Amino acid sequence: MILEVKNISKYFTIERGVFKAEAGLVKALDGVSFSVNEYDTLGIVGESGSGKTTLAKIIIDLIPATSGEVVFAPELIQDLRKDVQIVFQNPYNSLNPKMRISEILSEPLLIHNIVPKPFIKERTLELLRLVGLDEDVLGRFPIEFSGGQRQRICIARALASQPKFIILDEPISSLDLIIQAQMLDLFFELKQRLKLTYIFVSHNLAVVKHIADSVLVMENGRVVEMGNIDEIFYSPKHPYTKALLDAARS
Amino acid sequence: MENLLEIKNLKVDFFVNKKLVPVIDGVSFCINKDEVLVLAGESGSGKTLSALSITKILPHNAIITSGSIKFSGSDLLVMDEKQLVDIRGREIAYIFQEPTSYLNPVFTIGDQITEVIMLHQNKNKESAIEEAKELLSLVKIKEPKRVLFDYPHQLSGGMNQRVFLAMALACRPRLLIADEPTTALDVTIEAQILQLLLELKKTMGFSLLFITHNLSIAKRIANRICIMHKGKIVEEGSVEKIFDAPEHFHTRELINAYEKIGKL
Repeated sequence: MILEVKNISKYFTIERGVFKAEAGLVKALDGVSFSVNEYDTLGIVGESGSGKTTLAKIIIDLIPATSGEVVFAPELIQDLRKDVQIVFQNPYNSLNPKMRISEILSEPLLIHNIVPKPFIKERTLELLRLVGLDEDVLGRFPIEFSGGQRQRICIARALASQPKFIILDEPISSLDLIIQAQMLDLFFELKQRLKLTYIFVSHNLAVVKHIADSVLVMENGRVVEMGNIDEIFYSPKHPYTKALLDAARS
Repeated sequence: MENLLEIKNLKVDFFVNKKLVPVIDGVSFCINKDEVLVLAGESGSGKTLSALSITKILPHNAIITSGSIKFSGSDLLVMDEKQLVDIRGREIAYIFQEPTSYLNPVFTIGDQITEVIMLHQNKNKESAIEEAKELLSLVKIKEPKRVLFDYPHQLSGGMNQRVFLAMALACRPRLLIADEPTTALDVTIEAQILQLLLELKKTMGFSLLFITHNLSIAKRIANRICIMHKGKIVEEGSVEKIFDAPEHFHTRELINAYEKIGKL
């Protein structure tokens, strides 16, 4: 087991007026628990607002949980910021527009001391090859690329620190169908080659079925069902899982 | 079968940096009465622009350079603005992807629907409100009376799309153009809206031009599919033909991607 999420809750307070009086409570996550095995891909599905992204952000410690605990296996994950990475849904706003691709890719290498300085160029080229980009992109800016290419750059950046665990938060939802299929192949290949563990967050059940080993179904901040691919897709138990599947199949 | 809309060799250019860039490059298709035609393709292939050309609601730097668009016999491209205003909304109505950004945030739902009715049907406010209520129940909004006084931000995305649909259908158009109407919605809501569209099409008897990048939706609702790629229609045919025996390279590429990840 590489990750164990224990009873995570996240409440957001709604503030009103100049003095920010508490006007209500939104339970974005309400007692979520699950675990992920090494080299597995866990798919997290649910409709918008079900808490998928909040969960991803809590796992990687971008926002604190109200209660509960996220535990990474200490023998596998020593440095959270280095060993766990995230790729976001929208590649248009997750790359710094003022940085060249070479800077975007070398920054994590420098911060985490992955390779000695003279080898940085070589390593960035290696990263580009991993995600299927040519070396002539290094001097260019994010704005010069298409959505699919930008997402490849985001993945290369995530791979720079040699992580063991990557959270993919709707990584292909903003891309065209053909590019989506290509990216899924890329995730698969990278996982095999670099021995990665994934959490794949998506609202698209077909995509999750294609890439995940097990699935977590979320509704309104709660886990309504969890199981392996066959259980979830061929014998769903919870009515919400059934409704999701019916909607996607009809 | 009777052709309701017939587009022949439509070409649209964009004026960019003092140069003309072709974006629609000779598109021809027709829609028969009572038909659901799906225009499918990737982003940037020219689907939306083709649809906007029909009633000339194009961005200001777009120029229609050639072609003809015949709507029940008369050419829309030679009509002046005044004649087009009569067609838009009354004969040909649109619904778009993001309903919340097409509804005016500072007016109530009731104001916005009655505006359409009063503009196109010369009705007074009272009967327009009655009509609006009927329209809202037609699109299966549960409490039409209450929703009339709501503002768009008080409703969910799916509800707003229903409101938008009610506005589009206010004048009983003969052609409804639905441009990715469910893309911003959750799958369960998407299924509801699609079913509603098909039901209303049957009862109200309009033809439907449906634009989507989602092939599973295309398969679900289409009578015929046109596949667009880089400003051209590369393949046209029945659902069976497109899915079972695609001929064009790009169609095959799309179907392969669909078989792999679009299908459950």
